[in-house]
Amino acid sequence: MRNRVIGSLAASVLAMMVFSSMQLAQAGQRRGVGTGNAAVPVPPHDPHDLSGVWLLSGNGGGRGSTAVNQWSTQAPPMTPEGLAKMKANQPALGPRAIVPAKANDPLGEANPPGLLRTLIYSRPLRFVQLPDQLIQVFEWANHWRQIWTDDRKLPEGTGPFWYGYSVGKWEGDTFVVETAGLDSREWLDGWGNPFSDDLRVEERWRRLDRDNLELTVKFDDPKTYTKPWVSDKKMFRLQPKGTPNGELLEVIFAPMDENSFNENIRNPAGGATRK
Amino acid sequence: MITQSRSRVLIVMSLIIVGLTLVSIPTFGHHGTGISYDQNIWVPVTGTVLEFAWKNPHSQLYLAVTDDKGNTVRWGIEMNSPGVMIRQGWTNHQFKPGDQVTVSVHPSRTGAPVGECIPCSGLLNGKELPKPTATEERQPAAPEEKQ
Repeated sequence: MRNRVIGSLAASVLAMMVFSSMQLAQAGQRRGVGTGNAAVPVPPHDPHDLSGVWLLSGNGGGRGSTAVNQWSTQAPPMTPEGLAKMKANQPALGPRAIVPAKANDPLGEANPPGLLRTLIYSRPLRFVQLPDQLIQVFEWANHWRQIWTDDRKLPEGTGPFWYGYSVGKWEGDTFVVETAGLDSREWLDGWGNPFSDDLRVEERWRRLDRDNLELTVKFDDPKTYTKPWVSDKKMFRLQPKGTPNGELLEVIFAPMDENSFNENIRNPAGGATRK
Repeated sequence: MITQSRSRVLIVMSLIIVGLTLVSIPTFGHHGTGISYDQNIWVPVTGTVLEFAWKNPHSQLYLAVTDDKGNTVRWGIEMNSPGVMIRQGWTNHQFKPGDQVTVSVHPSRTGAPVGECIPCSGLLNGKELPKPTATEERQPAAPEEKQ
């Protein structure tokens, strides 16, 4: 028995060492981007081909005491309307977190997370490029979106859609996506930050090398924020086939499963139930 | 008898140490239940498997646990989502009724017999459960909270 315990401890330490070395290796690879380090061979890639499975690095941000929301450390102040909406949103995550049974996160009732929360949730997403559109398939909540690349314009009065209506085009090596029509019943992030139906989103995707994809997002929502603002950089890393995240799994939040979880785990754990 | 007692202490210590080392793994989760648990401590929970719910948003393990007074208490253990656990080698057959399990959990702050095993470590019929990986998910309740 003692040997088993010692073996258990040794295995744990070994696992942590392996994990740490993986993190260091990934950090080293990230540092290698754009540094001109001639010692590291750069694998070939087509900057206009975003196909493949990608995984957000760093769990989406929102870390550190300076974070305003999970997208940015420098978002501008909200309008009075935005502030009122934020106060009405009661999250179970972030600086304003309360126990989830008393929160009103739409996800708690198995509603779709929507585009904005999905983009900063670290689950694999697949890009599929077709002649007239790019499709993003999200593992998280089993959703997908179309980004039309056939030169169409954003239609007036589109939506509301949980994942919006999107058009995209290439500007040099940057794939620029405009989105409107997002359903503002969903949140900007897991911390309960709001947006309005008037929100316009501009995503800028740039493949830095074969393995690294960068995203910045501009938010223009005069009803909610006093001026347009740009997110921090979000980094995505290619997940090759055969690796743990290299293929998408089914992740569906079925209301019957969510209700069972809430009743048996979430609510008793928090000592509260929603009235 | 003394040897058995020492072995039991060593097992508990082992689980606690494993738990403490794993707490440094950056984790992320969307349902925000983390705030309901005391994330500062890990406690071992030992019992007999009643049910294993391999479902979203998070898997659940239900155990029959004998408390200090000899009463049988039904414990609910929150685990990660199946998608995350598949990637660390778990399956929907990971537990079956009657299995003997010891897991380290963050206990509910309310004292209810509910705990969180994320990332999860422990023993199943005396053998170690598959190790958690870096894809474990749990987001801190507040930005300044330790990861």
